[in-house]
Amino acid sequence: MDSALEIASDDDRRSCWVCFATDEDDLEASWVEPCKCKGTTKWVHQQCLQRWIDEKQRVNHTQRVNCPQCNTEYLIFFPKFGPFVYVLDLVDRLLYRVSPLLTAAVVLGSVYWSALTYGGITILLVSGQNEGVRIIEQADPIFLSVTLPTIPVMLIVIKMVPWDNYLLKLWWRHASRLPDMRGLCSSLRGELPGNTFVEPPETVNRLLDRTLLNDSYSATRVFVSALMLPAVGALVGRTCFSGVRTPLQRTLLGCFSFIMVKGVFKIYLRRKQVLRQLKRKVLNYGDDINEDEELALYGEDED
Amino acid sequence: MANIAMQRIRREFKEVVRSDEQSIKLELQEDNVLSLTGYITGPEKTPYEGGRFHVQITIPETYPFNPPIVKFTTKLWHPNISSQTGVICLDILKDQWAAAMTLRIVLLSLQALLSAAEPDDPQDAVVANQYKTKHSLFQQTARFWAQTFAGAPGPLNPDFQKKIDKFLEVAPRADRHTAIQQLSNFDWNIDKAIEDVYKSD
Repeated sequence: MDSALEIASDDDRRSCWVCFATDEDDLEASWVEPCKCKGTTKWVHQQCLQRWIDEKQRVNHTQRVNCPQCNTEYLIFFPKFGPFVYVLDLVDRLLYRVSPLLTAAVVLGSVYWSALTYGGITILLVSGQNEGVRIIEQADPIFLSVTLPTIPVMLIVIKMVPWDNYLLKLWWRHASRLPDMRGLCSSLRGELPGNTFVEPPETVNRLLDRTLLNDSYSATRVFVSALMLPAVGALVGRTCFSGVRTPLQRTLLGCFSFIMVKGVFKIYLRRKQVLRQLKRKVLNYGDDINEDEELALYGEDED
Repeated sequence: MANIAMQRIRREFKEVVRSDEQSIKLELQEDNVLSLTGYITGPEKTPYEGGRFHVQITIPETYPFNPPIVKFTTKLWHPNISSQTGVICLDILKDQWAAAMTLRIVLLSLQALLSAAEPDDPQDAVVANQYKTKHSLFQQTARFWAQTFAGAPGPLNPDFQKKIDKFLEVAPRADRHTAIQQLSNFDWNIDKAIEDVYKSD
């Protein structure tokens, strides 16, 4: 090293290897020789070295830092806390560790409590106010605390069985083989694959899968419709089956008929959607779609 | 904190000026201490010999705790330097930086990098590949670039010259820089170089 730095190698005129200032530049600064280095990198300002260490520990503030020149690990001394501050520090660190666990516990607890409440309300809805209260009061509290929260869980699990999709696929597969069926669903006549279309079956399957995939994996839809079921069932039961004696039977009938009617409509809609996909057509550039053609393409559902 | 950076650059600047080394030089850009230009001459017995290469040095506010940002503004053909942008791949400019290093050390390290490339840690994959598989072609190309862009002495490779002229005939919209870059990228295979220009059009 040359002139300016060479002078720094004797101890009389120290030079900081971070800011390159010498004794003359700053009389106040405190100096340290933290490693085995000799010569120009022997001395460094306490402040400068701490800033360098901060920079190295930016990612992980407990990481050890070595001298970049001689690889000696810097020994960092922290003054001891008094007993009071020591306890405060301990509590501080404990809280830091414990709070994620507590947060998780609160969240889980809230979910459990919501599920429990939902279960209770469902019992009241399904079996009628008086009967419901009686059931809940007579049952063992521990038994209730386990069974009530499983009610919404079971509803969701059951809802996740895509029975209507199986039916739709089954219908598609067998419709063309059953000539009698066509008479029954006359509105769909002529639209069955293998009859008017000569569509390769993969296309049908692909479109079918794509249409069905969309709703069977919509988590929010499964969630909402599963949890709405008891309320809707009770409503349907009360309006349509008022002749039935016990509220429980009424509600069960309501649920069942609601699911059936909804399923039929859904299967019908999905089938129409797939058929529409099969009949779509890309236009030639510059062609305007004329009304007749539009009718021919999309207008078949005006039954 | 920019204070430390400025003070240090002033001290380092004096160091380089005083050291009076012929092969490296440092200049301020428009009196702005945090932006400098460095010059290095190509080391002897390398294709870069006799060339004068400019680097642009930008000092971050956090200097010397973080390394200076350095890139070549002279085009050069080297595995660890991007032939398009001049960006440098050198450990001391990244994680191996230490506050005790200086701009003088950086410039000397760049000079050392020109004499000893690290093709296994490349910045420019095309150059690195040529360095490893067609070393003599790499040396001729690096020499040609040094002569063309860095003013290295000596007669230009006539074969390369001919190919550049031919390239410019076929692709009249391209300039000489593009022609040299394109031909070098394709190991001076003129057909492939031209084909690629039209592909990217």
